[in-house]
Amino acid sequence: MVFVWSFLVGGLICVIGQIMLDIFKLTPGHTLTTLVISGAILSGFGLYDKLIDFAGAGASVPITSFGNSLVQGAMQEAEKHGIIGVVTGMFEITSSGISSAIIFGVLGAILFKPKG
Amino acid sequence: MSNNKKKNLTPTQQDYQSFAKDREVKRPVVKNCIRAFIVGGSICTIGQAISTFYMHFFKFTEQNVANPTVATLIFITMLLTGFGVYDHFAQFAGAGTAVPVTGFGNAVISAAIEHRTEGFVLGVGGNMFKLAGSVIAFGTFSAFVIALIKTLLIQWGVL
Amino acid sequence: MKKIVLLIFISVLFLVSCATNEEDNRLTSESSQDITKISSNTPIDQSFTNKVKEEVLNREDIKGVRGVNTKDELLLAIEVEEIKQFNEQDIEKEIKKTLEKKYPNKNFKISSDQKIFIELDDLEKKIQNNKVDKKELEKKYKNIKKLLDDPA
Repeated sequence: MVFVWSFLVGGLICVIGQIMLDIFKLTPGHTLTTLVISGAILSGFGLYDKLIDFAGAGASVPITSFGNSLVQGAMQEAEKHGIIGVVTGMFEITSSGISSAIIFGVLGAILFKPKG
Repeated sequence: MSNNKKKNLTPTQQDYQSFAKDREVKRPVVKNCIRAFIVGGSICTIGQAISTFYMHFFKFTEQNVANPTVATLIFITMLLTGFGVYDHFAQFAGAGTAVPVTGFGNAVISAAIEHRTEGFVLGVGGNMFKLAGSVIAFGTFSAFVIALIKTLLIQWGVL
Repeated sequence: MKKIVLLIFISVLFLVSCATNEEDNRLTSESSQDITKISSNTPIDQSFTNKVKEEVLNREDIKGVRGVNTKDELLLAIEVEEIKQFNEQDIEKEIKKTLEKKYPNKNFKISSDQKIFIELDDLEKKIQNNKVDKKELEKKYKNIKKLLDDPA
């Protein structure tokens, strides 16, 4: 059943992105940035975690989950170390997405030839 | 565009603006949304299958299975981008491939591959973050603001 | 292009049908309770867990339960109904509070995490088939508990 919900929720988030591109005529950069910030805001209200519980990968695969991981990491450190934790803890949970993108980016540049 | 609206346009310029707008390529919004829904949903469902695989056969819990899932998806993206297949999907599905983490991966990896001819340090390293940069920068900054506000509210006993 | 869309559609259908098979398994949680009621030869008596599992299953929003107990501690994994999964962490805390009030001299650890459910299901099967001795049971129990406290 979680597969159906991950399909629906993931598709819905992508449709929201598509509406931003087509109707509000934002650039892809603007769209993705807005989505990440929305993820961070939802996480601030404690709602994004519940969405992940409900929809599984449907909520953790879209780029909005970056915003969620950043806020979660910051809040976790802040609980332990006070305000300074907000700065130090931010990339603790989110490292997977960004690290993999960088690592596979460099790997791709080594392995593949650019096409015309 | 918005600056033009504020200035006083002469009638000829106003005519031109409406002429240009008429000639703009109309976007098939509904068709794009349906494509984005199907492809985006499929990518997330594939991600769910990967998550379930990792949860059953490895020591990952529901809380931290997103990490290997995202890494696997970006690895697959690297293969698709390297063989030039990802662009076809992106053309077809628009936001359906751009919004999931695969779109972020593709932006970084395709920029890295493309600028390889300029050398690794300046070309690959310097150009990798063209699109990803704003996502990371503003994501981090907004998370900082939100976490700061929330921490202060908790400290002052409001939350 | 049409072929690719058809391919994606078929794979999604395939995955959804895989999911329903998994669900059938879980719905037999009632019978799994029967299986783990064997208390005669188990290294540590599981009758307390069986009692608690029945109580928790009585709740409308709980679809399945798995659990194992050591001398003073009980580790429980709950599976919440689909739509209610939005609040599964709150339901988890509620159940813990209720159980701690009812049995104040026991320690409870509840989790709504699917991985804990899978691991406890495994452990229950091993206990029922007498494949573990007391030391191994406690070791596996500790390992599952460590997963619970694993930071995200």
